[in-house]
Amino acid sequence: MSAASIIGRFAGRPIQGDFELVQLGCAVAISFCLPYCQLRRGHIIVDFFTVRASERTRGALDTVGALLLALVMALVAWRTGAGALAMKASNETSMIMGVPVWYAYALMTPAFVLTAAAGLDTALQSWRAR
Amino acid sequence: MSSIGGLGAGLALFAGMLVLMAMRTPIAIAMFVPGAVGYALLASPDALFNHLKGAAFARYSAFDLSVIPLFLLMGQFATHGGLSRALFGLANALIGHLRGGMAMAAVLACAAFGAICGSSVATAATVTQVALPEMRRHNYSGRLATATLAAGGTLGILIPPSVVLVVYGILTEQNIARLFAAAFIPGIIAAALYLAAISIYVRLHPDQGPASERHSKAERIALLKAVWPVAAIFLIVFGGIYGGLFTPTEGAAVGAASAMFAGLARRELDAAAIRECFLGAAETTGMIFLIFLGADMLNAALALSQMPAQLAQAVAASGWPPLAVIVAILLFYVLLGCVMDELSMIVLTIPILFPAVMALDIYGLDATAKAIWFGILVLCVVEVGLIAPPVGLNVYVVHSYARDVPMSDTYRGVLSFLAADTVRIVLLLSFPAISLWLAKVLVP
Repeated sequence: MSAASIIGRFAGRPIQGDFELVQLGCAVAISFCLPYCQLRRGHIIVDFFTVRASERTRGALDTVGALLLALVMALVAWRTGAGALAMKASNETSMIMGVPVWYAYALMTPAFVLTAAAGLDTALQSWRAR
Repeated sequence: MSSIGGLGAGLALFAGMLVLMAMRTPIAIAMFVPGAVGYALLASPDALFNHLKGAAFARYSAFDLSVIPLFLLMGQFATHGGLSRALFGLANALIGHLRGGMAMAAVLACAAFGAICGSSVATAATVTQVALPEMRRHNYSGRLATATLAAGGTLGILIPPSVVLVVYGILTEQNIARLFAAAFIPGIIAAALYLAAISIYVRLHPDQGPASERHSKAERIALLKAVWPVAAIFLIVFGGIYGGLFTPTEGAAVGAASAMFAGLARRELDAAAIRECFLGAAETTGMIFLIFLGADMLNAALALSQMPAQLAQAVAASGWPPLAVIVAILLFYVLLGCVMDELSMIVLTIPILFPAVMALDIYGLDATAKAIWFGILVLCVVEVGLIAPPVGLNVYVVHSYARDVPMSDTYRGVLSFLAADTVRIVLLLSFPAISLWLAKVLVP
């Protein structure tokens, strides 16, 4: 919820370089939508090929799918964290306002960690519900 | 890996994706995994790790993308704000008394709702909730009623704002305001052809869409008053964008805010509903941006395999007439649309196919015009996937409100609308001016 409202608040302000704040803010806000979406099981899957499969099979496949998601998001989290350190070391800032870019990297990392955790959680639920 | 060549490597990546997708892996992850593995094999694991350091930030901080959550929010407010009821009420009062008129009113309501909502599924769902009970009460057949709503819903992504078009614009680096302008006239043509399809259908099957009572002038005027927020929001957003007052992102923010105020003023939105709207927009945002992350990874690997460049060369060297290539691509989209959703399809295929299209000489169009013309065509074709069997997402959505109508019945009804879609696509293919004229006038 805060995610979307942050974006909304920023987008109407006529300040020099405000779009940089929108950019950085959006990147962080958007990444925090990912774990929420996973908890709501909102990420699209194709169920066309498995309509006739048993509940058990589908539950097992969903478990594997959620585990893969957790693995991928853990990888992304790790690399984005590494990106934050690299950006901090190189002192990269935004063009007009001079905001350090590594702030955004650092704030995005926990969002991806949370998404990985959400993936593990849904994997567990799918396995139990088989 | 280099021994099998770019096309071979590219096909292997695709095969990996399809297998994972068939096994219920979230689509975004089904694209990411073969992409990451392919990248590590084609370059090296270190190169992959290095690439991933900035990949998420680079994509999520693209300024144009901030328009997506805002348009989603605007659609949420419009949906929860009861605006579809007002729109259907007015359209029904005006033409509902004709034979098949209520179905036509539903199409008009979808078109008008599409002007403030960028999603097909949301448009289909919200108009279904108000129009379906009315149509059934007036003895419309389940087949005509559900098919109309499923097809009408596709107007949601054709008529601007359109989330799919924003995504296309970002991937191909086109001006989003110009793309929106290009979609207006095709959107109006689409609605007109749907009305024609309904009128032919009820002439053949008069019992399926009987005429009903006429509304008085006073009723019509009262309903007209209820519709003004929709017109106002539309005019503010697009008037502002084309009048040079604000960028599409700012327009979307203004639109979201005004849709919220409209809902508040009509007492259709309370604090709990507003919370729901934000959460709904956040969930869809999460879904869309995970797809971006996955498709970017797969595309990075495909670029390493040089498949897109080789494909473009092969197409150019094949000696096929350019329009035949375009038709082949569009047919490929129809097929892909049978198993994939429209966003994943576009995010995945545009980076591969777009270079090939740009290399073609079509009616002597310049690069920008060609990109816009092709974008509108692709948009129309992915819409077909939303209502065509075996998996039409819109048909599922409408079915969830009409459990008593078998889905096979809806698909049968949808055929007339697919015919209308085909006519529109042929028109767009033959006369690029339909999409390009307004784009040129509004965004010179």
